[in-house]
Amino acid sequence: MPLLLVVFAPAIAALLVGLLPRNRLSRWVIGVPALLFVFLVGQLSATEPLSVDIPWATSLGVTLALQLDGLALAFALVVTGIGTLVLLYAGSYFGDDRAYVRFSGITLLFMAAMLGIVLSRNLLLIFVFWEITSITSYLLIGFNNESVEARNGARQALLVTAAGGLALLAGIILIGQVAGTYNIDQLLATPNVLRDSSLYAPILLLVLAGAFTKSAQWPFHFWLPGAMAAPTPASTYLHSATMVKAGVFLLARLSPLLSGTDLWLGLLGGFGLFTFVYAGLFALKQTDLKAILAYSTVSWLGALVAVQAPGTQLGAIALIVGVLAHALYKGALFLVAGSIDHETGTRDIRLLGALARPMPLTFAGALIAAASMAGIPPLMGFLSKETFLVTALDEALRAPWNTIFPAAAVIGSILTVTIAIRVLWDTFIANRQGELPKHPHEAPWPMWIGPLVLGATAILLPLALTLVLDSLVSTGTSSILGQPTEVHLHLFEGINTPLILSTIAIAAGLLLFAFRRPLLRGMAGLPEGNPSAIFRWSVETALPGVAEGLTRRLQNGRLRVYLLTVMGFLLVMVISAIALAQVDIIDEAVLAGFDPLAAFICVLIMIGAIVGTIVPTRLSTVVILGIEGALIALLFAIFGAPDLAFTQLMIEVITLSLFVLAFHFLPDTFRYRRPNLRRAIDVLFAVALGVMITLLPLVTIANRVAPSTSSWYIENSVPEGQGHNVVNVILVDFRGMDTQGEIIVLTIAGMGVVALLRLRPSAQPRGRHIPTGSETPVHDPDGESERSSSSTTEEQLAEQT
Amino acid sequence: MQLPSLSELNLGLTVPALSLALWACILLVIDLFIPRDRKSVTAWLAAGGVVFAFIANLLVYRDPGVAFMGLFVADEFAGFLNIVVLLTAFIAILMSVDYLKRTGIERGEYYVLLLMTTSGIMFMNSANDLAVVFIALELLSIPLYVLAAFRAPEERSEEAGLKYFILGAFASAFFVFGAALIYGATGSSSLPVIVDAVGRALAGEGSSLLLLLMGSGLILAGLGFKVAVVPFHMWTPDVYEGAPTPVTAFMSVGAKVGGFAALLRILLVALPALTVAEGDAVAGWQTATWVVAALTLILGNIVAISQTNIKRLLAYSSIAHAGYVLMAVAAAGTPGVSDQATRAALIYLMAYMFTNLGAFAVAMAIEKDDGSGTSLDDFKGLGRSRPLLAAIMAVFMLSLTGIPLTAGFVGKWVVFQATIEAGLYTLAVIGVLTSVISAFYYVRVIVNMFLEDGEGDPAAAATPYVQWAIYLTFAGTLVLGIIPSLVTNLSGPVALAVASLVP
Repeated sequence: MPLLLVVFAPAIAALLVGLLPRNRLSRWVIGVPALLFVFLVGQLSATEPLSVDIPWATSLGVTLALQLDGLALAFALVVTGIGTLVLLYAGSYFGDDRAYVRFSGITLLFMAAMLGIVLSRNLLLIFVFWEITSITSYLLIGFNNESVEARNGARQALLVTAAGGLALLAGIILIGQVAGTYNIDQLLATPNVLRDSSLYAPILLLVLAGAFTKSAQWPFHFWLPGAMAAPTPASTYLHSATMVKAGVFLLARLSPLLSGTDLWLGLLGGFGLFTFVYAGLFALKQTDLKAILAYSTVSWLGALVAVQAPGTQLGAIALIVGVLAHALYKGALFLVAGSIDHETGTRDIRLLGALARPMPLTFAGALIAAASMAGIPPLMGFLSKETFLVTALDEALRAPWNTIFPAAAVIGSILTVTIAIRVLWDTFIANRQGELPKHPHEAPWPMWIGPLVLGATAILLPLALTLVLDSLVSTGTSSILGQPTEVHLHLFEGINTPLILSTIAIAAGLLLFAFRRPLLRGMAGLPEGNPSAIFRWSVETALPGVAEGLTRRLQNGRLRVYLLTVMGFLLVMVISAIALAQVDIIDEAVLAGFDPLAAFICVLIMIGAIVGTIVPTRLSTVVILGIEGALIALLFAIFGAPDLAFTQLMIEVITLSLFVLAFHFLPDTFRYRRPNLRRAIDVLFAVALGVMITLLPLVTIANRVAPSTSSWYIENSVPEGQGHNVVNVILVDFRGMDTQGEIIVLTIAGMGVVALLRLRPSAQPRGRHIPTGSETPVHDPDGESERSSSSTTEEQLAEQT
Repeated sequence: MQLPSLSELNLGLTVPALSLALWACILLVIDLFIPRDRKSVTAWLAAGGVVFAFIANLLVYRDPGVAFMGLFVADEFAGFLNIVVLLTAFIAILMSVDYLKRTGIERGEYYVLLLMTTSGIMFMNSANDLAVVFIALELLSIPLYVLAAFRAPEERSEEAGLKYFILGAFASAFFVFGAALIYGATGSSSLPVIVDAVGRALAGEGSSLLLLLMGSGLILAGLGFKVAVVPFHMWTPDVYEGAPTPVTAFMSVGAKVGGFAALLRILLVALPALTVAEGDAVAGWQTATWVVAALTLILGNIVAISQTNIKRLLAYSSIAHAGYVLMAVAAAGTPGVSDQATRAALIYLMAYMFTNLGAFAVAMAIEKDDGSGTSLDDFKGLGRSRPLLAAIMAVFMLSLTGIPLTAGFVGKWVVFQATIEAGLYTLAVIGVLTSVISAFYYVRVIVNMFLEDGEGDPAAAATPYVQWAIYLTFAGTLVLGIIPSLVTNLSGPVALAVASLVP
């Protein structure tokens, strides 16, 4: 139950923020995360992890299963601890109450979702919270919605992370498919079920797509620098300390189920290490303080992915220590960057410098953080780098990883050191190059207390609070590995390879910093290969372009195109059905009934049909149609249905006269001529459809399944219906009720038509035109006379139908 | 010929559907006596009819059975879809009352036609015979043709009616042709009888296979028109844009429900055993529905990106959503999954109903009297001028995308699950990828509302009834999303088991 409260308390608080007193709002708001943090610290000594399992949507396989195991605890402490500091900080960062209300509401909601991710024992639940973090992140990046940069960054981040989330969902569904459950505990009961499955590779790829997008691994990393348009407190919290680690967390959560294969090692090691070095290198090129920190965050996220690649205990330790250390120093540095921006009005390190004197407390926080980042003992960052190097130097690693891993680790560490020094030096110590937009002052206390508290923690944890640290790391490692482990960390373990490498990294980093100018000049030509441009191009140009092209082509509002498509589909369908079934097309019986006279009439009908499409005037077309009808009537007569023939003739006469009446309002000739290509297509379709319609009855007759019903009617006409005309008997006797119904329907329809005609507001013929349905419209150069505008319509209609 | 006695007809089961049609006829007469300026009375009377049918539906479908000697079946499947349709009709009436007034097309016939088509959809849901399906299809379509053109003499509306009618006539013709071919192959039009005949026919020569294949293909085409799947979707955007907005909203849900009901019942009750080659484990129509679903998903979602008008956007998105339902239909072709897939389709339709109607209601709330004001640019700044409306719209958009805690997610979830269960992995992947694409245009609406500058429309005042419609659909979207067990249990026993349908 308390766990439910852990997740829902921030969410409820988020809804209530608007109701709290505006005066000193931040003091109220931080109450919830602060209390949660204290509660979680209390859980450090718990022997049995808290857990809860409440049925929610059981039919979908979702239960509210939460558990506070070691891994969850480590992350939850970061989430609530940094959350408290950030919310306090933001109270001063935002001058405007309304902005703070909005910010804290979204941030608390995010906090709830993030706690949900780390506590969930159900994969679907993780996904649900996962998507909520994407959305809240989107809202925070786009917080300053007047800036184009913020809007673009927000959209980019949302598209990348939400898309990754959906890939993750697909992976989760596959896991459920293979294992029959979404519950992590049940999955762990049979840990090899996924690895042994034939779907292992797709599952892993989909899960990694989710984790890598969220944790900004190359080539998905580009959204994170773009997300720096968010207010700095949000960047600190989401895009450095917590949300971006959700991907890393997920990998740790699932590693007992997925790790240990070559694919896992290759993908995590490859992408992680490449990201580590790549982002470290390009962090050097940045000039915006936040962009530097963003790239360096990406870099360390790469390291956190890479340490999980071997799936060893050392890697698990390095992960937990690395997450804690990074949250402490990078959180502090981001807060410092925000304070500097707030106090000086710029984040450009080419302008900044010599801030140590006006902002001493901020400087103190920054100093500890940068030292920790560089891995100076005895800070938390030192421990983190040591455990990382130990993992990289693990003798259990096979070739080629036993060379790639240490090499990349050292290069990346050197770059990290350089970045740390640069951040500190260029902002606080180096001489200022120009004027700052604002005269710098020390920030208000809520803004410097955060970095100092984080710094103090970074010092105290490895020195004084070793019990706390050991217990955190032990339980965290146990839950990653899925077996109880006991870990004791020591700052100094004698002179060994990691320590030597660590020292080399610091020295080389200093050296690199000293020669940074020539290095940067050399790097100027280095293409970043930033997929952001490709992404922007595909999302902003290619996709809408394709969409528009498709729309123009397929959805142009022309009935003609619509009909051609439908007919084309019908053609394909019928012909493929005939081909699939492999049946006779023509029955001999049909050929046996060959009648030369009927055949001659058929030929005439065909000629008529062709002529009808060619003649230039409306009247001749209609006359030819009439002749066609008469010929068909003749066919009926030949085959012994004089009444049918008579009916047909009557209808032809009536239709013809109606046409002639209507033509009174229309011009004589079809003035609109289609282009030749279009005509050719139409002819092709017409012929194909004609062939198909001919084939259909032929095939149907050739493949009769049941005997014909005609004979029954003929035999029963006299005895049952007392009539010699079978058609008449069918109409009035066998199908008498149907006929009755038809008469009623026709009567009602006739009444309706009369009513409608009388309702017509005026007898004036109206000029209309079909707005979107027009082919190239025919313009009357003499102006819009009644006649021309209505004729345009008619032509289009005729043409379209 | 032996006429059945009245009690054999089992008329009681048809009360929900039939009462609506009868009430529509009576209302047509009553409407004559209602003064021109008080046509909302007709609306309330129509709504009363819908409520009556709703209650009757709840009572009747507790106890499934068949009426009209097996032509009409009242089972949970029909009962569930009736609920969806009746809610749709009710919400559409709510949306119409003020809309008709302010656009100057307030006429009593509107509600009569709406009831008629609703009744047609309910008959579709219950039709157990190809002939009944066809009659229901016409009862569903013809009033809609008129309703689409109800804004006449406005040109777009006339165009909508005309296009819908011409293409719809083709669709009906396809359907009849298909039904005739199936009748030819099996000698019966009754779905439960066809299923036996299919087995016998397939054991014989290839000729009946041909008729069955062409017949089912044509039926798929005919119903594909009604539910607007590629390549029979082309009328959709033009018609949706031109028709009066409440009609569009109704059409986008109601017609689809009817079409899918008939499609599922025909494919699963009559043709589950239709296999192309001997020994095939899955139904022969699975490939066809698979391909159509994939095409629909891809085209519907991609083309929606380039839309600038909310009604057209929702039209394309409704095409895409038909694709998701069709995914479930395709999945139903795998024996053993058909019950689960059917359930998924129904849940999806329910979720889609709330969300899509809601989105249309919001679109209506900002639409101006002359039908303009529905461009996506008109949403700019709405987050500031009308934060609540904008927030609700954002939830609808997220639900259409399929973000958790909304109804849309539950729908997509069950559909994807069924698709994967049926082994259609590629289709599932296409479904997921196109969902990602759909985020692109749904999110743009949200971006426009909250992030873009614009004065919004201070005059955009959703009238009270429209607001009710918005709140109702909003509640439905959230409740379904947060407590999905409500609907997943409701449709628990829904299954198109052939045995239970035979009289």
